[in-house]
Amino acid sequence: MIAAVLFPAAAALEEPGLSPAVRRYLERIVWQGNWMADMIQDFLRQVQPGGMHQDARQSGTARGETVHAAIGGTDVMEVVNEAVALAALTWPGRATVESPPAPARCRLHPILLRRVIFNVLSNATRAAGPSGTVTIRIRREEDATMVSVSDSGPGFGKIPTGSGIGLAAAAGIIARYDGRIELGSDMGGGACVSLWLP
Amino acid sequence: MTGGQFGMPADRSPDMLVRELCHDLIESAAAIGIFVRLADTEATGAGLAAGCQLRSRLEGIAAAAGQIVEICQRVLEQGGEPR
Repeated sequence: MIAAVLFPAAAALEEPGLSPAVRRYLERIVWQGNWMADMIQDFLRQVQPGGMHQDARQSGTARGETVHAAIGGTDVMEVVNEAVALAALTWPGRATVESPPAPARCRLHPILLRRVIFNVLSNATRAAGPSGTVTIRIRREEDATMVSVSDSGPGFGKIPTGSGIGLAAAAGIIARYDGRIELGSDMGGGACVSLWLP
Repeated sequence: MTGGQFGMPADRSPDMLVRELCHDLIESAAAIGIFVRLADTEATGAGLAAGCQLRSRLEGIAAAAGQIVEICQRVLEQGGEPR
């Protein structure tokens, strides 16, 4: 079924006379289709007997991720920027990213880090609403990269929507790498999710 | 900041993993639906070229994305509350 997304999108990109905007949306569709395929492949690896991610280098073939992992971990900044850029296409609020000058990396496989960041950011933009703000701060700690995502929404437990599955998935993934998630509120009363990524 | 740790076991049951996958696939497929609408609006505004198959392709993509959402939602509804 993902092929039914990818093939027509790839074919449409070959059509002559596309405007840059249409091309950009089609490229996003292809990206999302590949992303879904990556998630499914990762799931299949996990449910195979003994198939957890023992090592980030053992999995991930899309978009040069094997090389990516081999050079010292996943670039957290790159994944955060990717997630923010995607969110900006469908969310009109304001997102700010504060990051250190030096690269911040972590051991999480790129596919898994994307799932974590996308889920947390998706919750934050939903909570902030269309005119709200989301702030993402990245900093390097001694043995981990810390990412905090705070939003201008009403805070945890005050929004009726949401299943909690996304956050649970993020927490489960991070636990596999001995990291942790902390939930709290920022000074403005909105929610703040802090991710400790070894 | 105030708050506490949100813990989940690293070893998840296959059932839980399926639910988490479906949750994330829904987000992704829904985003595809949005991009299809944006592309269609943009192409209509720019005036589609004669013989252009873009619209039918976009419709096909939207239908596939809609099916993915439907299947995943059915899985989530069958599973009840997250455990």
